[in-house]
Amino acid sequence: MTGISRRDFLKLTAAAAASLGLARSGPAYKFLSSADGARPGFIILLFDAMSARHMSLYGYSRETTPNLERFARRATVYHSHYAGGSFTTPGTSSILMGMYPWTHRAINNGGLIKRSLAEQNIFSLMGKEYYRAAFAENLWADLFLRQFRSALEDHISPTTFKYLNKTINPFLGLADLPDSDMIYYSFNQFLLTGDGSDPERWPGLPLFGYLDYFRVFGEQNLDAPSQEYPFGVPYNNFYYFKIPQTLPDVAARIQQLAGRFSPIFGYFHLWSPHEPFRPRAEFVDSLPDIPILDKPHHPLASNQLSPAEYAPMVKLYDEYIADVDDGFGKLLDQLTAAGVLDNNYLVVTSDHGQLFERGDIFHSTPLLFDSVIHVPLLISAPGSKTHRDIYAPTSAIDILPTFLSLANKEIPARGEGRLLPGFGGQEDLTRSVFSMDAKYDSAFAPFQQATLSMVKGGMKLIYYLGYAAYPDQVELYNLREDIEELENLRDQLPGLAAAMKEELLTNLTAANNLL
Amino acid sequence: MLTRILSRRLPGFHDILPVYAVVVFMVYGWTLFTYFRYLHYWIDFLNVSEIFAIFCYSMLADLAESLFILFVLLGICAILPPQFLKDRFVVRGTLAVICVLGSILVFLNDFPDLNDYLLTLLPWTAATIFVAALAAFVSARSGFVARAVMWLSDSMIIFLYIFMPVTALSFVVVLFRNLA
Repeated sequence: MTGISRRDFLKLTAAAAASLGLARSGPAYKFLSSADGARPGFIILLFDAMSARHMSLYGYSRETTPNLERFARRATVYHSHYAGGSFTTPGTSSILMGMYPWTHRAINNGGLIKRSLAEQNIFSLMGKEYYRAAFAENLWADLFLRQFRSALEDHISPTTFKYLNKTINPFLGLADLPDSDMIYYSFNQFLLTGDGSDPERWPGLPLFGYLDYFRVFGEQNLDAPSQEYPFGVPYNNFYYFKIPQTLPDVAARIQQLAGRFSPIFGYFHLWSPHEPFRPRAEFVDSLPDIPILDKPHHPLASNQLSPAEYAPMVKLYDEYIADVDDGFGKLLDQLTAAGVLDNNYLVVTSDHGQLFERGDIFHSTPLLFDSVIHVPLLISAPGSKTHRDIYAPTSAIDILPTFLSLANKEIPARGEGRLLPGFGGQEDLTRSVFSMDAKYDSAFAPFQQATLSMVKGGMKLIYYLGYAAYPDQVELYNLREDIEELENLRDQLPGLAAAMKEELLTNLTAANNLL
Repeated sequence: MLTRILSRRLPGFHDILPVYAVVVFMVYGWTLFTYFRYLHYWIDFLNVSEIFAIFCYSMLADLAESLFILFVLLGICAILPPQFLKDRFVVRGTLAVICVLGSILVFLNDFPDLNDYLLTLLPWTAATIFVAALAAFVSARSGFVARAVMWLSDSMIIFLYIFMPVTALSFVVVLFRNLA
């Protein structure tokens, strides 16, 4: 008799549970069958904190993304694609709303979309013709799915693909209750310890909060180096996961959805390669050493680190990307073999990047240099076998109108995005694309302190609004000739800097006036 | 049979009430204190009704935690011979609650970041249990301490009149938000 392994058993159990879930929600909706489905399906695969600047697909010297390059052979690749913001909240919400953060106002750590606009989310606009399923391993992204829950047939719990709990939190999986976003704020961010964004925040429940500290016993075990994970098992703030399990499980879920419903609209937001960077052993030391540029420290940098200090982090980040890319390769093979890509668009993107320069690291920074906002975007049309490169600047906010157009849906007037070149839009090298960071501002008031960037015609303007340490400063870079953004051309091209600043502020003022 | 054993082992309602009032004061008080510390963070992106919703969930969670603490205390009471806890439940129960919750509050206040948990969390927990037991069984022998503790716990009953209606209102709000 052939034995069944624990892993196989868990997979079967998960598949059975998922099937039951689908069967339960199925009869409530009338979906087109695969045979007569006139509209294409869409699958968005988002890898959190994946910087285009660290991907060999976009010319990085370390070979971090061979599998994404394989996917690119059948996809349209956007070489100048920008996130709406520099961290999860504005980055993700800009994709899901087709608006810049200054309009949808999801700007704070763990913030929500402006309530009066939330109904215009991508799931709602795609309509009930689609079976709309969404999953986010990043809890701040999952907050949006909680906010959009009425537009989702299947809000996949953030704990679905976990390996092991890191914290004691029985409320994490309660994602489908009508008030699930407030339940998240109450229990996950307040009563049972904070979410890690601010160590000075104490748990609101003394005894249960104290007991939650005992999680460190479990944490120590999986954080300890092991043969498989020399830097410990990867985790988000609440649970551990293993990429070689998560991505095939996600692929299986997509396969199930695509096999059962047509058309589908699936959004899968994966935590990796977000920090902590914990590649598997086979990827550690798999990439060559490269020199790290010593850029001058920035007055607003949150840290004062030297290149020697962040070189090991960069290496680990790159190795982690290579690990994620390997998982993506397996997912791609799984979906291709199942024929899912024959009638669905597959989009690979990220909500923001990572930054290791000018003294600062990661993405909790007011700096908006390209490494933290230049993200990948690859789109393969159903059954596509051809490759195309787009070099005109595009933005995360373009995905929503493009999908609506491809799905023959009406594009709301309030959206700020355009159709992506290659999918109904034209390449416009002179177009302006914006990103911003205003995490400490009020979502309900005009911006007081923010960093804004604008890319146009190969030039990039960064404007610092309201920082006492760097008041009303402007930086201007030529991205075509100075990709590392080393030479500030503000004083050499004052007219251009002033014109770009004026355009930026006009947009910002218009957004402030909408309040 | 069970009822008879429990009535022999458990204190009466009039003894439980002041001890529970102390638990309620400490649990609800800490939650309110931290709630107001979080306000500056929420106020940037949550509206008034959402911030009030968090308050309501907090009140319900406080009810659950305070009842949990009370039941643990009553469980200990049921296990130990009556002369250890039941017979002087108000004094010993109140002292145990003050020591345990007080220690936890000090810990949360001073050690929010736990990198060396073996040197902090475990010894702190062990010391807390030891001090609580010592306080409950030794200090209660002093007439002055006993009178002071009884006065304190009786005075705390007023907080039940404040927090219980607020919790009931919170329950209605939470129910409404999840059914609407």
